[in-house]
Amino acid sequence: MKRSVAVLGAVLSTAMLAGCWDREYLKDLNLAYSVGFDLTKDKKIKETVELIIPPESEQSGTKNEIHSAVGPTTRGSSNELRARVRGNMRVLKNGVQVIGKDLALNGLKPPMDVNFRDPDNPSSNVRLIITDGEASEIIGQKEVGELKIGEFLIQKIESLEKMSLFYPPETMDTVFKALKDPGQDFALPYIGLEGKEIVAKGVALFHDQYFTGELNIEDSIMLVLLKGRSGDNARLTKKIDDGPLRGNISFNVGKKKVKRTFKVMVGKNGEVHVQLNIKLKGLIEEYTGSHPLTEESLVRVNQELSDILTRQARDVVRSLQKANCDIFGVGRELIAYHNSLWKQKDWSKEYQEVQFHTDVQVSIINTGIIQ
Amino acid sequence: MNESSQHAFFSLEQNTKYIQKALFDTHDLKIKHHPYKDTQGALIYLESLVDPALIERNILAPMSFAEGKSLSELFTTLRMERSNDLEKGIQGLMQGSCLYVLDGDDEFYALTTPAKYERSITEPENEAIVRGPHNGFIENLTVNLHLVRQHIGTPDLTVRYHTVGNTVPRKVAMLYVQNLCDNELVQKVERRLSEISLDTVMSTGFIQELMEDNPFSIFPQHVNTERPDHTSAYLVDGHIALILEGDPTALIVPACFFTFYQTPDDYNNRWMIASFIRFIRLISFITAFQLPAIYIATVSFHSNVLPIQLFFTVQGSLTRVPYPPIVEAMILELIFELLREAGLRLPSRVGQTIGIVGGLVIGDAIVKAGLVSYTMTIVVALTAISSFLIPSNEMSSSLRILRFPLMIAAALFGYIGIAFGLTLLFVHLCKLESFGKPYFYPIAPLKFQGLKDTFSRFPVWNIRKKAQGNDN
Repeated sequence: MKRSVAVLGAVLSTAMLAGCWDREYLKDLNLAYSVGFDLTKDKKIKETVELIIPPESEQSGTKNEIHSAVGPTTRGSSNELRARVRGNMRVLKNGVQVIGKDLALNGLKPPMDVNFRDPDNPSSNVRLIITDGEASEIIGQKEVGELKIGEFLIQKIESLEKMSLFYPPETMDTVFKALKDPGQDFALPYIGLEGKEIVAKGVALFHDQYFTGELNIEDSIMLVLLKGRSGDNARLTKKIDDGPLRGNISFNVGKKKVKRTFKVMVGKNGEVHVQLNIKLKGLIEEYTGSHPLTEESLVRVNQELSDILTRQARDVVRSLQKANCDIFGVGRELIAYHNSLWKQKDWSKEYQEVQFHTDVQVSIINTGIIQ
Repeated sequence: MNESSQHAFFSLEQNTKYIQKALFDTHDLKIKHHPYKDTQGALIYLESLVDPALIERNILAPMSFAEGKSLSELFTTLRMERSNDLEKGIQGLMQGSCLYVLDGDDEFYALTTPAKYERSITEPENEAIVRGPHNGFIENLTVNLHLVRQHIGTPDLTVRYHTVGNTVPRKVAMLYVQNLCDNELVQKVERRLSEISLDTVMSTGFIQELMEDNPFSIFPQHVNTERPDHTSAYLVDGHIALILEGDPTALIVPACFFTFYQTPDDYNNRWMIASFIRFIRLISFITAFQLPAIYIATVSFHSNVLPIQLFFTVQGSLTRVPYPPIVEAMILELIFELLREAGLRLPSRVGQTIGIVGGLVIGDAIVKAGLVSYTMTIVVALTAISSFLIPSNEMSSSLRILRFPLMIAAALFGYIGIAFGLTLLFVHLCKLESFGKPYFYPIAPLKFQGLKDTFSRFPVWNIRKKAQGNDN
């Protein structure tokens, strides 16, 4: 009897207490909210984290600490970091990863590997940002106004996404998908430090895993529109240089859905043609010209703006091709519909030879309260 | 029950002696010598069971103006019997009758003069409703039957008396509506009632426990109510009600899980409001026993599901607590159960003090002392409130107990533990039967028609069958 009770107890506790391995009490966690990675001169990885110190009571606010460490790999420098910070450093609510330009030029796959390999690392809601300098400098700002650096970066990126600077949101997950796909590249938010201010500089273009080029802010918005997407707003300001209508015009094309035609066609000799047309519907928000925007003059304005934007779009496509960044997924279309052709091609070379036929049409549907 | 009989004696003295002996000389047995004409006679009664006014008016007064009439003509009580079986007479005494025994006569008169001290028909306190009839059952079976018959005025309403208890027999009335109730069910209930072989049946709880399909289940398998309108509604729905003499509770069988979430108010309100309230109530089903478990699992295994702002708030309130969340939860649940039980037993004037001591003093001080966290207090308070939302007291108690195993499962395995715990629970619910009817109907077996009156309440014209309609 005594024996069977002991055996039962042993079996039950083995079965039941097995779950306690995975237990990780909330109160023991030290959260790294934002992380930055840089490449040092001796090709090592420098990791900078913003660690949130648990508040002393539920009413008091949190504080943050910045730590950095150098190691041979990402995880290696994390281990190094753990020796420096207090308690159990965890990244499970990590919201943003900043990557220095040098590291991005050297490829994202090696430093990102641990994020995808270890399921404890979050990936679905982690924004990736490229900085033109050192990530440690950005994180090292520690606080921007009232906000801690991690919060600030996330808020900034989210508001810029609403302004169609980067859209749809690129997170670790979407980047992983693009990294694994030979027919699809990606672009990431590109920021920099000007004095003490963190400013958005546009997007960083990637080919495969390498940082290959950049676009400025206006071109970034155009890129988003060319993808057929837009955030809540997409504001453009253009100068019209046409007789009586002369003046600066600010309009928002993000309020209405972007109509996009995207066709990949293959010519007789295997050359690839891409037809990329977008139709934008704009709301005028500001116009400095003196001529009233009547029905007739709006036709002129539409014509003028379509011309300007088409030119800009073609510039953007040229920059994309120069950076070898197949962000529209032309390669993916080829894999799907022209597979035999795709197999013959060395895409990273031949992408630049793709013929893009880009056209933008703008129609103003609203001039605001006044004409 | 003593089935023997004893023929009455011719001598008055022998008869009184026999009765005195049979009742062990109990002091409330009164023997009042009262001659009739010239014959010696005695009026025998138990003073605790008879109404003195009735004796005065219907027996003694007429006898004093006898003027040659026979006794049978004289007595004006509601019922009068002549009998020669003393044992039967003693039975009558126990039910509040008077015996009039004459010397030299081996037959005596049994006259019904029972005293009735009854509570008024007030609304049951724990089943108060906003709108609708405000009467309730009392401790008298006849009155209770009267109340039900007032609601269901058809000859179809059938009452069957049964007697339970061997040494102290008590009457149980079984009520059903003849054409609406399944015949098989009636037989099943009758059989189970007749198989009760207990010395005494103190309350409906005894009957309930003896008749249940699965006494080891945590879920109640009888609905109990003190409301005649509620009872009638069930009867018309084809259920059977059992009412015990001297008990204001009606037991209703068969019960299914969702009947415990329905109140008469659901049908007194308009359907949209009723649906909304019912929906809230079913949410309370989830929060009443899962909320502490989910909280424990979250803070000990899955803190990454918390939004970042909440993450720090919860973390901040947890940092000062030295125990793991499960211990914290147990402490608070224990305190809550203590307060609840204390509040239940105390008279209402002192009860308020408990509210203040419990709610303010303990609630605030315990957090300041660092024994439990604010968030845990919120969770347990929410759970407590949700458990009071359930109309049935029995179901609410069941769910309160259920949350403890679920909390332990959550502390051991996190969300997976909860998932397994719930799986087991629902397997049990699907398997459970109440008098042969599936307990988790209309979910298992799934019946869409039944769902209309489960999670929401569709308009009455949609859920009630029409006059010619056959069985649902």
